[in-house]
Amino acid sequence: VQTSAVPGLVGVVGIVIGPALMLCALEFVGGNEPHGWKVAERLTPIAYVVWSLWLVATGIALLA
Amino acid sequence: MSHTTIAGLVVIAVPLAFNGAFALLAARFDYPDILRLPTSEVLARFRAGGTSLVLIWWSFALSALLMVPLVVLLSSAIDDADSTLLALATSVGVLAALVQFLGLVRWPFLVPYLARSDADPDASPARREAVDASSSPSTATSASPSASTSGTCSPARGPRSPDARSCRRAPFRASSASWES
Repeated sequence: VQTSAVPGLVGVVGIVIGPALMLCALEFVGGNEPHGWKVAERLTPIAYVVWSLWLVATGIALLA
Repeated sequence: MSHTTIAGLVVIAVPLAFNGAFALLAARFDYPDILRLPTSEVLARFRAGGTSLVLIWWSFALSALLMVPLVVLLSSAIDDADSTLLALATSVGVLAALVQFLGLVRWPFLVPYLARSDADPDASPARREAVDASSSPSTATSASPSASTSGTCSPARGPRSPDARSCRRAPFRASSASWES
């Protein structure tokens, strides 16, 4: 968001993805062990695909 | 070639490499669904995968390590941002990459030994129990994008779901994932 190297939107999307990934890390934490937390279970693959696409988009924005 | 160009190329290449290795593991090893199975079945499938499977796991682990240069180069490419924020983000990114690498590197190094031990016909019940137990702490921090998801051992998950006994004996199930994983 602060840099001029990539569009601000890239940073905004990253700010959304980061907490989502942290949420996914709670899938088996505390009371969620051993069966897992359904919300995180469903969110994890989506979050990681979006995160991967965000990285690629960030790279393209850096090259542009 | 400028630092920004190198950073851009690395930021594109690393997620492709990571997802490519993950896709190969899914195709060859039924990963991460295989993590639901009991230890002996996971190890048998690992043995059946041979050297090529070990190399795929090694590549997967290295792709996690590639996050370190990615984070550092990206930080350098956006150096007009707040310096404190950049330092924090770089530190967290490097630590996340190391955690991911440590979670994955057991597969090309520790698991082959466990798989061989498990297949030894002369192995005593105590040794087999040790192999089973050794799998638990070594896998407890596995970190892959879907390992946590598909590692879940829930009897209500359909025909591929393990029974209750398998659930109790599925030490390869990852219990946490974060970038990682």
